[in-house]
Amino acid sequence: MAHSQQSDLPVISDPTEFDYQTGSLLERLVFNHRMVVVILCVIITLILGFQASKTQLQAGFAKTLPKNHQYIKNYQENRDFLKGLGNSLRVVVASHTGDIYTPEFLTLLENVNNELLYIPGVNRNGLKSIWTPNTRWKVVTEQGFEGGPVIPEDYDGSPESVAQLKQNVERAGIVGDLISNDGTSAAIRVPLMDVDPDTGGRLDYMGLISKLESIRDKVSGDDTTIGDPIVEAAAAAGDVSMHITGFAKLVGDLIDGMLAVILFFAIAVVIATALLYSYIRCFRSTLIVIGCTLIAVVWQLGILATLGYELDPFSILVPFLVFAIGVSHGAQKLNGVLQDMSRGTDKYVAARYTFRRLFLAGVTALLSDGVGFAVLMIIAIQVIQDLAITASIGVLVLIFTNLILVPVVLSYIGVGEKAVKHSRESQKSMEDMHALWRFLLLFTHRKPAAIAIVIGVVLAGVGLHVSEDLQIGDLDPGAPELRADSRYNKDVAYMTANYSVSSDIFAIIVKMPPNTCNDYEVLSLANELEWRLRQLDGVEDIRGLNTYTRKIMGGINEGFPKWETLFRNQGTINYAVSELVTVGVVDPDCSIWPMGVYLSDHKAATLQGVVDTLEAFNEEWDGPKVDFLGAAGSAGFEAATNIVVKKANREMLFYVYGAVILLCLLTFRSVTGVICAVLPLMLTSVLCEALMVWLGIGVKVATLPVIALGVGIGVDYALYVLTVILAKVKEGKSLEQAYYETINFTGRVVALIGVTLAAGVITWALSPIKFQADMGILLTFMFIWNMFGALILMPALAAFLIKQKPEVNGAQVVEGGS
Amino acid sequence: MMTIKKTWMVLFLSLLGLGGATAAAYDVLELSSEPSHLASKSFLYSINKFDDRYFATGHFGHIIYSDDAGASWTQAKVPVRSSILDIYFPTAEKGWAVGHEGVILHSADGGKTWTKQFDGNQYAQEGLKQYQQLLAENPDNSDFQYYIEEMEFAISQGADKPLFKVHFQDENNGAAYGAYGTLVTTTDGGKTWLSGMHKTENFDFRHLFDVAPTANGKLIISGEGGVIMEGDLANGSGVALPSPWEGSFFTCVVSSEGDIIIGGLRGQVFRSSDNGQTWVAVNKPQSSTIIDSLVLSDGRIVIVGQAGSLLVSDDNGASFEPLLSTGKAIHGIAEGEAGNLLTVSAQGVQSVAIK
Repeated sequence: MAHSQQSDLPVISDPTEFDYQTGSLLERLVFNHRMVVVILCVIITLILGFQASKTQLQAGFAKTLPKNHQYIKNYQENRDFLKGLGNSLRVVVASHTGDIYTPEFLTLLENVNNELLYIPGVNRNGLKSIWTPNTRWKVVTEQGFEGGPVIPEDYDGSPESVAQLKQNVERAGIVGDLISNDGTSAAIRVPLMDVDPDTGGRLDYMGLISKLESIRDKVSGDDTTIGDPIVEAAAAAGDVSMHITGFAKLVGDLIDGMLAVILFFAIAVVIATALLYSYIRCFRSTLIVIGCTLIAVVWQLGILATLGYELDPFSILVPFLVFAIGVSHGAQKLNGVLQDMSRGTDKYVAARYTFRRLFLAGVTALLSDGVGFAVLMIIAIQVIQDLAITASIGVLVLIFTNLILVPVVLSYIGVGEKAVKHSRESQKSMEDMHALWRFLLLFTHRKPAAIAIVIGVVLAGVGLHVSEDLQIGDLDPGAPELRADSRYNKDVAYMTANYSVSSDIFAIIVKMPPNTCNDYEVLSLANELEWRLRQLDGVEDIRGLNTYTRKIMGGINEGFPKWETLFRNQGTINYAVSELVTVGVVDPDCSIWPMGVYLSDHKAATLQGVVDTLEAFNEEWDGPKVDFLGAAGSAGFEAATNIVVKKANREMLFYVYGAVILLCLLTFRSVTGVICAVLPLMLTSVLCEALMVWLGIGVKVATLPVIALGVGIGVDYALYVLTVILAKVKEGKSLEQAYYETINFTGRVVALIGVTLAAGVITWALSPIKFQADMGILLTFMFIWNMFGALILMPALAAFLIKQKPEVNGAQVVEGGS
Repeated sequence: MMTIKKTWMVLFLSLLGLGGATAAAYDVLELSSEPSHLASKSFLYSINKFDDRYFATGHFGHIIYSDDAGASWTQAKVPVRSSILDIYFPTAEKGWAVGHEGVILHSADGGKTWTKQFDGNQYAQEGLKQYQQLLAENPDNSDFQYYIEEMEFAISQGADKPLFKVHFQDENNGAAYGAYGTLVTTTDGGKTWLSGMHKTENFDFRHLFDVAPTANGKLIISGEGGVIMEGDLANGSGVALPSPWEGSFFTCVVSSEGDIIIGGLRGQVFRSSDNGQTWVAVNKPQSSTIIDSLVLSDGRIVIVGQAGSLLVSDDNGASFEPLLSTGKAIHGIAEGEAGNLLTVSAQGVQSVAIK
């Protein structure tokens, strides 16, 4: 970033000798009124700090959907009819000592059932378990049907009534749904209302989840409040546990995860402080840089809260990035002041010189970071666009706090004497430099450079080969947002193992004109589509109006299996459909229903199979009677997301590299410079994809920003290092000499920046939220690897590509080439 | 000039079915069955063995056969996508299969390929003509007017009547039995099918579910609402027998000693040792609805409860004991070749070992 050379400004040790009218208008404005600047910043920080304290956490899923994809549009248009698919919980109470048919266990289940009923936000009419009257059994007799509620009306806990209940459960056909396949646990389906009818407000996820967890504590024995009916029933029922799955629970866990991430921020601050201090060796100036950067984070949060943004699991990561970038730029400023002071310049003048030298360069570098963020705007997924906006705001804020405020504060405080001394002593000749730096200088010679380039090419080849296996989408079972061994995903695994329901549902929206859902041909087409989908690997079950209709058509004909098919007797179809309207399988208008395709996993290939089959079917059987639309359900959304992400991944690479190349071209004004800067970045991108294959991370919403950020921030290094090298080569110095001087001037800061950036994001790897961990690992890799690229590969490329002027005392005369 | 050309083009295209605006209706009677790797693992209705070859029938026009006692299955070529419910081979080569939409299929190559001989639409159309002609020939018989109305109603309903069972005495003579009293007979190997409804004493048009040849050279026919008839193989008539119960009998079987066992709704099973003149409730454990029955090669009789319980009798059906329970719904059974039974269900063919 240091576009100018250090020797062009006079050393002034007495500030009274300094001409206050020199420098740009902005410099004069800032430094001739530096107290005003400080006071303004304090006021702004107070106001925005107050605003930031109102920041809300939010983890809704609508924002992660690709809103322009036809599937999502179909869902949004029809969502009122597809309520059941959106928001409901499954609560399972499990016995570890036997089956559920003991009066003690049944009492516990009844108590849990009743407690759930009165949690605000629960749709009481839709709640379903063996304890709710809407769960009924039915058998065929010679007189017709016989049936009743599953819980006997005269249930009294006696062995007879428990036996009666057991028989009713078998006759009701709810095993696998409300009772586990092995009979050792019972489920309660808890539909939720998006709008709380009592308050009119949005569903309070945190309140809901804390109530659920308090019930879980009572059931599991963690809460032993005496006199509480659940606590007592659980104690009587023996070894029992509770499992909760469903979107609302997932949201709750994500918000918990976000709270954990806030702790990581503190860790990142400590690491960055330690790193900066070990470089500068001055505690107070280190604190100034860290403090000003934290002010940037406060401003950013304050502005977002003022604009009405909520923090989601993506945008909560932005403060980390802002902090890391801020510290790296603060370090540059600090370094500049330190160098000037070590030459004897007064702290005020040094700060002002640093501002003069580095402000424009800093703005350029921050704008290049901004380009990385801005490119993300092309992806029509709101969380990513929000990420782009929040990060852009953060970068803009850094211009004020770290490019202006840091030098201003340093002009008051300066850098400690010890640090200045240390800095003066660390200026070493080429021969006395640390072995590491001498090693880097080797790459300005053609032979080592050739070796480095060959290794780079081999790595690129291997990376490209490995990255051919790069998958789209999420690869692990359970909720992909969370880790496989998280409590939630263990509960999901429990449900999948013990119930015939899977959480990966691809719901096809079957839509037709009102009162035609009972049309024989429409239902036949649904059968055909169902059968084609069943041919696919990964499709475990399919349920919908057509499948239930077939069952009922068999059922009302005395249950004789040979009747169990869709036969063309309109009266029978009408009866079956009218029964199914009452249980909500189809809407009362008989015009829309979801065909639930239950998948064994949500791997991209599984989802793509469903999408391809659906589209081929629609191509073949397109007609006026019915539309089979994709898609709702978690797997449906994921299929749409995969399609968008796959496309966006290519587009984004194209745009981000386009922008970076343009930026480099403007800065270096040389094609060879662009090649030297961009090729190492490309190697990193390729290796990052290979790393994803290696770690089993698929391309998904969360990994899209990584490449953009990695490249956008990674190009900073090139800007820092290559600009200086090019300038010095232009002066007639050999590449080695130029690189030596560059390392002395900014190279070591580059190393510091690399580690600081990495320190900012590596803590994410510990996040309970899986995609944050993935992002942390990949970004750390990209930041570090880009640093090596800039320090090794870039000079190596320069050794071959950059025209050097013949030098009198040069070790080597290199012919120009490009 | 242009307009005329265009009009012709549109006409030509629509004749070719390329017009696009009018998509062909989806009709399982017009669509041939497609090969599926799931054919032996998905919904099957029946399983039978004829001349060392096992046949199972299922949804989407599935007919599968096995020459290795059920270890591997081959899917036959079937011209319809209807649910196929039953199959019968009077000879090793010639066989018939029946199913929903009143479809009757014929194979002349041991079940590998099938052609459609008859369906529910033809049944109604041709049945109407048949009874109109019979009425014209017998203007005094008011019954034929009754059957004409029944066939007119059948035309209005479309092909909604499944044929549950098919039985052939030889490669020319046979009959298919189905819903609402449907009974069609052939004497020319299925080239023509005629309604035999007017020859049966089934005036309420009860469903006919199962048939079995009896010791006295007749046929026992069991059906809905307690219907039991004795069928005459020679003239295709059906005479009502006294019924011990008003519930449906889904299956009937004749023991090696000639006892008739009928089973049905709510696990009711009755036995007759006098060719159906008197019936005795069979001593058996409680079970779900009985939907299939089988005489094993050693003479034991197995009956199938719909919920998956198998009961066995070694006294020619006088009493039954539990054999085993699969815990899952079963649609039909056949005897395997290694002390096992082959069962069919919504999950396809399964083998269960028996003592």
